[in-house]
Amino acid sequence: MYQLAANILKYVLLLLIYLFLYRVFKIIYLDIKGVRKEREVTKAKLVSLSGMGSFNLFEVTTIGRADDCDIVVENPYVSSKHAMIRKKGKKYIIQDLNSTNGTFVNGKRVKNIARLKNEDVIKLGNEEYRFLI
Amino acid sequence: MEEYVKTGSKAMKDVFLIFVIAFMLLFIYHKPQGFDTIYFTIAFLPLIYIVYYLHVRLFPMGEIQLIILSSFLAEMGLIMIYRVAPDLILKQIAWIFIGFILYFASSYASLHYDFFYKVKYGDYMYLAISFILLFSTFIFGKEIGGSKNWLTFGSVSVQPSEVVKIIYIIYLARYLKDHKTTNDIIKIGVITILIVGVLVIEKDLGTALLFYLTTMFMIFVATSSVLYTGVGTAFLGIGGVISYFLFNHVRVRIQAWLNPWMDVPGKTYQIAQSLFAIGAGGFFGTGLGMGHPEYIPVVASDFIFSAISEEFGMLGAVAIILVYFVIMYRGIKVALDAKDEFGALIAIGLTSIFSLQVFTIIGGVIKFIPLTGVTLPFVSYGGSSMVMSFITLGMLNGIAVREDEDVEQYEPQH
Repeated sequence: MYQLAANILKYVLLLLIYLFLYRVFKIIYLDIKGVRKEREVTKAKLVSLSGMGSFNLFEVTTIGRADDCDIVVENPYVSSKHAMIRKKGKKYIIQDLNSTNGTFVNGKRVKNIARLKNEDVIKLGNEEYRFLI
Repeated sequence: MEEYVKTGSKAMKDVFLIFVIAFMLLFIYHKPQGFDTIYFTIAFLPLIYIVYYLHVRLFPMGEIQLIILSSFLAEMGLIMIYRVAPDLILKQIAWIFIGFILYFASSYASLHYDFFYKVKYGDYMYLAISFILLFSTFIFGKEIGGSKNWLTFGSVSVQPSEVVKIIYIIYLARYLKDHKTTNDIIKIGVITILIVGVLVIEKDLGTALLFYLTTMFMIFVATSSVLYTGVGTAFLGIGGVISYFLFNHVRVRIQAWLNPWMDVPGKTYQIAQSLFAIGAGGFFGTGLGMGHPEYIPVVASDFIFSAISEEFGMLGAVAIILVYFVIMYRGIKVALDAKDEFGALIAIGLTSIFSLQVFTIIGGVIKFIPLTGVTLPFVSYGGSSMVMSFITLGMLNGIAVREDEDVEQYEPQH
């Protein structure tokens, strides 16, 4: 009885191991190629309240001081990778990337992720933006 | 990004399922007395889930793959250890738990890795610590499994050379960042040969090889000079030949590698049993509990790869090797994306010592290179190796998520 079970389940185990590997390689694939898909422009916008112009948002948009962010903010109060806005279905979500001075939506600090609505005011460090869909 | 996190969770679900199925079988096979073993074993699942979500939360831009892959490897190790030596599993789970804690600790520590660079008299300090740790085994050391490289404190045995690995890599990275002339490289060569000599006298040949090759790789990455690498390879060959004639234990290993069938009950017992086990496995393996890995000596630590080959077959063994390749790929990617040269050199050093260790032991048990006793990271039974492997990956993660600090960041003033 045990022998039969062990014999059948060894194929199941191998199948699961290779399913796992497939997913690991898929993550690598997404890492390399997925960046391109995230470049699609959505109709959402961020408008700077300090007159720095407006920015179109991508499927995934990172905001920060580092050069490889999608929206580069030259402000010492903003962390190098400060926050990320992404589209999830039809909703937009903002995620704080462990920034030093925090991300605020309508004055409330974002602990991990928060949903964004039209006309919300986002504050990063001391820069303010209005979110428009 | 969304799909990225989702695929990661799916991979964790596979890890979960493999664990449940394998341990269901093994509980029927071993029929453990009392429920303690079952409870503690099942505690592994919430542990890896908590670690996974903690990692996603604490390091949103971190190397989440390192957690997924290391929990898969630790799980394969647990399955095999419970199969061949049921008494050891609780200790191993405790070591994995400590390992995950140290993963996060070393991630946070290496977020500020330039501290290792700025420390005063760093060169002398790192070297002094390395040599004190290495020589301590001569005085207080205890011989386990043929190598005199263990320190024992009560019931816990520690291998100081595992700690020296990381300190020595930091030392090399710090030194090579500023010193690239031929004289400096010769100086490093002399120090490395001293360390390797100490390890060879302690009969820890595997670790000696790891130190030598890692130094060679780091010098190559720092200077991109083919000449140094060529000279290094030549010295490796000469050193190998000299130690073949000088040391008896080296000669035994090489003879066993050249002809494993010359003395099967004696000198070549280990490698012959390992080859029998791998052969018995075939493509799909014998199935859990159906093979005879108990004939292989030290099967829970050094030879665990042969046991996996026997019961999971060649396909399972290849999967393990592929997972190590992915870890290596991530490590090299961290080095390429590192913010400065010091970080890149540490990352390349950690990645090479980790990958070389995997190559040394897997190559050894399948008779591709002469067998040397090092552990298979994450899979083998053993505290020092488990903890140091987690610290290695934690440091890679810390280097990957480190922020650029060219511009000083201010706290808000209101």
